[in-house]
Amino acid sequence: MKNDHTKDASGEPEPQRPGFDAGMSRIDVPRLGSDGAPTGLPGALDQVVVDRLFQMGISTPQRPIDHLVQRLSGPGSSAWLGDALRMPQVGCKGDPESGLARGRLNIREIDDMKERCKTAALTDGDTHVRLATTAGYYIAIAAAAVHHHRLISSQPRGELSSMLLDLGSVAPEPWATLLGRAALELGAA
Amino acid sequence: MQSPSAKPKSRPNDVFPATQLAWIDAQLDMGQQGRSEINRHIMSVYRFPLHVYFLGTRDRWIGEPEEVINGFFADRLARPNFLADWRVSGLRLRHWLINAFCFYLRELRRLRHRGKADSPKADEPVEFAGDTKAIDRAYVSSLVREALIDAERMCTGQGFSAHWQVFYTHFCLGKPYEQFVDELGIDAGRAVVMARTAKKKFQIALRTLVARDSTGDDDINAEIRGLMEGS
Repeated sequence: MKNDHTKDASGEPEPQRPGFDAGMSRIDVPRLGSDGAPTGLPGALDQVVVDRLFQMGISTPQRPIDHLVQRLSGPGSSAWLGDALRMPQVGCKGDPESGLARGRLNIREIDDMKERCKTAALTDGDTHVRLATTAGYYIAIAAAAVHHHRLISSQPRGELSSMLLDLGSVAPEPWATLLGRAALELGAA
Repeated sequence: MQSPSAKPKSRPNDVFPATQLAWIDAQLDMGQQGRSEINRHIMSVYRFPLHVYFLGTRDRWIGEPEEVINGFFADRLARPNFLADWRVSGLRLRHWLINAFCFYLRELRRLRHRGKADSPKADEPVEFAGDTKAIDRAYVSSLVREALIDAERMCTGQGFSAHWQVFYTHFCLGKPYEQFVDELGIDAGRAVVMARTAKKKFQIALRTLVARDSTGDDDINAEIRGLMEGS
């Protein structure tokens, strides 16, 4: 950019103004008060943070798990998930909360459950069973990661942790925390 | 960034949500209230990129950036057909605004030169001598800032204030979950899924703003990727 002085309308040289990209590396983000109006408290974000936040705008393609996310976002999801994990097709040994959320099942029992769920989720003719076993499949993976520090899936860690977070964001407790812990265990940022 | 007058390429796999494409039309149908909302949106999102653009021209002598840009908004946004003309232009809104801003700068230049003999520069096109990537960076920064404001409002309105706090502290302030979850009385596993909930609100807010820049037929993901590569 040319930096020579420019004459203004009166013919007087105009003082040089700051470069156009000055201050571009940080932005001020107004904070909101309880009434929703900006409070004026600045929170400066640097360019790296801005770029990372902007990248969050990219959506993921529709995945099979999104049907489950949708179901868990609906009414009565807590009762639905509790019932789903007790279905015989899911094959959870004992009480699901005790066995999976609190970690009473050993790794072999969890892996067996995961395999059973995987098969049913792919082959069962009943939509409800497919949805329930999909939930069982991911919860088994989460339980193995959290309680046994084992990854019992061949899916890439990044994709898996992202899916666990999506499920966790709509799942009732204690499953939300289990799924969140599992995502962290798998390296979620 | 494309030159301001360049027409964007049409993309056949259009995934812009129709509700967002129609946002400005719907606001225009609401009369003065809708018009005010559009103006607020434009002034919030496009002030910073226009500021950067102005500082990259040779016309900085015309006035203080804030003053010039406020004058531009006051003049152009008051014109009844300004937005209708944009809709038929096929340009992205930011390109349309920069085009209009160039004309506005020429008008100001003519005014400043009025009465002066021998001032041939008054009618010359506005020349941008800066880095066009800086304009995209400014636009991206504005989008992110506005999306943060909108997402916080969404979260607060839907009872997710704590979720927003976790999201903001982790992703904006850069604190690891372990460093602040104890203060909030929550488990890190719970915190990470709370942040995910707020992140989805932020994503919706950001994509909504990106969609409003288009007249249609653009893929939001492609648009975001393009801006990331361009800036």
